Amino acid sequence: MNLYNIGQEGQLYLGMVGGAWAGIALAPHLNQFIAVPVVLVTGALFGAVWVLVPALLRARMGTSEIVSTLLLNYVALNLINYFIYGSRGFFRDPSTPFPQGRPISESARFDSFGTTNTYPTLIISIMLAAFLFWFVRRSNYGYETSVYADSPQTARYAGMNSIWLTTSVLLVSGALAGLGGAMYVVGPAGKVDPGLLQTGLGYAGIVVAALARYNFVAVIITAVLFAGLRVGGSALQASSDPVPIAIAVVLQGAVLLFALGGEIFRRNRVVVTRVVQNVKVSV
Amino acid sequence: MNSNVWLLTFADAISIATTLILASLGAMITERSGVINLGVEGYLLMGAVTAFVVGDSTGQLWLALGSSIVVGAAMALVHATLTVTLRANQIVSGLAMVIFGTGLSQFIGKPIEGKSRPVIIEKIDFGVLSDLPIIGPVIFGHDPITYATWVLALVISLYLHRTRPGLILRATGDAPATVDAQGVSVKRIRYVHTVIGGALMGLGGGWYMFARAAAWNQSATTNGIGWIALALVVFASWRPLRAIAGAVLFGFCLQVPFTLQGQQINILPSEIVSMFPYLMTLVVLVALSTPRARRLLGAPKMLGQPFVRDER
Repeated sequence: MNLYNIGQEGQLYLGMVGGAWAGIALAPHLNQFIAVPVVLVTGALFGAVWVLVPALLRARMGTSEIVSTLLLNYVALNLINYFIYGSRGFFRDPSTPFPQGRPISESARFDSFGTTNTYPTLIISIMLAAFLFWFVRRSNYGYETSVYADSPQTARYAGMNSIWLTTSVLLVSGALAGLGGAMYVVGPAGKVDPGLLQTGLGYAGIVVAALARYNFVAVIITAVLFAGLRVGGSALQASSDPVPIAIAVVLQGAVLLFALGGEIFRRNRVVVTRVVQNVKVSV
Repeated sequence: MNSNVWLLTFADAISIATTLILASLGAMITERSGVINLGVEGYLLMGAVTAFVVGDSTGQLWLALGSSIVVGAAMALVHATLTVTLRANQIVSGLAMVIFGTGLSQFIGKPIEGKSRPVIIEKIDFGVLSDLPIIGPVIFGHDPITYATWVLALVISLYLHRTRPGLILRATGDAPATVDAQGVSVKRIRYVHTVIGGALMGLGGGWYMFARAAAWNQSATTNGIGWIALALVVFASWRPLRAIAGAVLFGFCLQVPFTLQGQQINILPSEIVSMFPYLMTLVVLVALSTPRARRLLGAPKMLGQPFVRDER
């Protein structure tokens, strides 16, 4: 919809906070089968709430959502630091003087597959991607967003509610990022983990989406590619001749820049035509 | 708490404003030509790390600052090639540059992490003037680049509004087709101003390294100043001289958390106080989005639109 939510980073953090809150406060009272869904949904809600203000501002007043969502990333970053380092509050583990998150209830966590670091949340993500792929193509709502993206005027003349479209699309975007944060809690972290602040996963998500050319299914492929880059980066850092993990981020940026440069070949196709000459052969 | 502390905070705000002014002047002239460059944060980081590395190995302050200008210009050249010639999405290209710049600066900066800065920018000694109460620290307590930045803002302002190339530049942002019809190359103007803009951002990063940051720090060197500079462009309504006033205001907000910390005033946890500049930027952005404010602002009309001669 020509909207750019650059706040995934912050929404991811908030999703982690929301997930951890549900995992600590709600999960112990819940049946094991609904504990995980409750944590994930809470995380998604927190992510959506974090984008609510930029979304409303964009829809009602046209405030640039790019800058507003981005500024909130820094607010979210400070919020996590406050929860873990700055206060002895709810999210901090009371059993140790070392600043770390309070672990969530075991019932609200997934086990990884066998000895791998892969969690069942991957399946949920892939299913969601497939669902969204279908949804934006086949639903009324998806159609309206694509009309609005191509021409806001047309959408308005057709009686589509641009305020609702703008707000809801950004909220869904925030909820998805929040869900990602909650998946981090349900899977590897199990608590509010300030380690997430260093990974830049939210920013990487933007690159992944741009590289997939905003195609929900292609995102799965580019995401796996980027995850490979990151894991490879960690391996390089841990090797005997360490290379800083930042090389993975450099490569991500470079891949996107080159892909952008290559776009022109998609828009303007190079056509090779073979000229067939009729040569008369004299007998 | 005495008033002296706030005076010093204000003087610091004016100092920190230098990076904000340089970065937003760079973004401003880029945007005046119709190109959005969202990569400011990446340019600042690259400028900072380049200046540090060059300063560290040569000990030459001006060489270090010069190389950060070159790096900023080079990054902007890539952005211009992608967006002007190849007509890629300007927003995505800018963001890609943020990610690329963040990663590359961390990569280059790894060996020098935590090392203290090799050279510092000396403040100009105005003798008696620097000792004057109030205006001494506020006006006569800065380094050459800070003063040069003020002059630069004035020069750019005159260039934009009083010269023919400035007129063409503004026209390129508002009505590129008209400029093209006049026989002036839209591409050339966009290239030139994007590259100059990038150079200013690079210098902003280099200056920040030597004047404000104590050491290169992997993730927290510029701390979102680049994004605040982008908001500042809107705040200054694309006019260079207003950028100075805006930058001092934003600089003050950036400085207040440090002052409160230094004074051991703990009304609020420091993490919460650190959110303040970003929230305040957001509030300013919102205030500027009202229809009335929009009319007065006068953003370049074709901002972010690639120009293709055949498509009207």
